Amino acid sequence: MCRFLGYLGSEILLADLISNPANSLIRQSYKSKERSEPLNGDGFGVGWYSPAISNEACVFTSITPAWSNRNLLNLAQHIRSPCFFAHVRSASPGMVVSESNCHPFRQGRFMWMHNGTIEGFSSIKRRLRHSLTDEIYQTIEGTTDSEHAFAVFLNLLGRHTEKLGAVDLASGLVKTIRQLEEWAYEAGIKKPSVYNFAVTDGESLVTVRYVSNPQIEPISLYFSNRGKYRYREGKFEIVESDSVQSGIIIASERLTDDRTSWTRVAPNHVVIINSGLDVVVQLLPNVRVS
Amino acid sequence: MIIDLVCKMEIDEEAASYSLNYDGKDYFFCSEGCMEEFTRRPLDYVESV
Ligand SMILES: [Zn+2]
Repeated sequence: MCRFLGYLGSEILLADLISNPANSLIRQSYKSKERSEPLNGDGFGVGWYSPAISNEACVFTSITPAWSNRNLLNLAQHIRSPCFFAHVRSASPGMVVSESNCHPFRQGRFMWMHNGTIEGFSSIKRRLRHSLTDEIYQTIEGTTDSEHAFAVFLNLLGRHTEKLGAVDLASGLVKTIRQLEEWAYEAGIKKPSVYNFAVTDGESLVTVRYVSNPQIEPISLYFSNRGKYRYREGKFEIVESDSVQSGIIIASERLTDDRTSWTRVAPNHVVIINSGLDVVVQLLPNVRVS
Repeated sequence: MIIDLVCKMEIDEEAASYSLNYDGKDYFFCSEGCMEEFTRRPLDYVESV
């Protein structure tokens, strides 16, 4: 399993998310606090938007561990953006370690990240691929369940994605999970899936913490208070701020020690953050087929 | 209306299908997932009231 984070708000330095904080994503990549196996060394990826240049994200991925990549550490000190996705990977058994399998995935205006496991993926892969339009099918470059789930999401979103808002992305996520569960049911997969998805178009950000069986604990996921993320007296903190100078972080683990700045996403809930940084948390409708 | 302490949603306690008693007090939840989460680490949620 992997660790990820996303950010939406006023411009921020990438290093302030992935390398500077006490429990930064890079620290999580070798010393994860909330996973039994603490190494996430099978590559990393960062993606960000530069709205003045393009409405599509720039993505930088590598199969080297994040903590030893000097290019990443150097770039992070020089990239500012109002929207970031970052991901450190610990490949599932049997999954290939290659750049095409590193998150975040990008297609058109959208970026996508996933951690966890879509149970029985190999058994539903043929059905999944068959459901896609040729156009979307041809965009798949890698072999991961994550990228395939992204393709399902794009397929369900349809052609006219220009005017979609946060709520539409959330409904696309719900449909994606329902579709994956339907295929798993058809394929006779009994073991539950446990995963988190995150998607953004650079203006809204939506994430979901999912487990097919509610009695099982899903993978950790948090979101921060809306505020300004700043460094003071040797510590990163999230402080209240006006709407012009603020942002929201979603992350597999809290990036700061101050627990009151973070909300643990409830199991099977969707967090919807719109371009005005309003946060809505919704219970996922029943997606399980039985 | 009452608050589900896990997801912070307002729920109707009459209609809530998921509830439990912890330390002599009744708690109501929107879903099985929230109830299970509460039982895993009740102190995280009770103390936040
Ligand atoms: Zn709830």
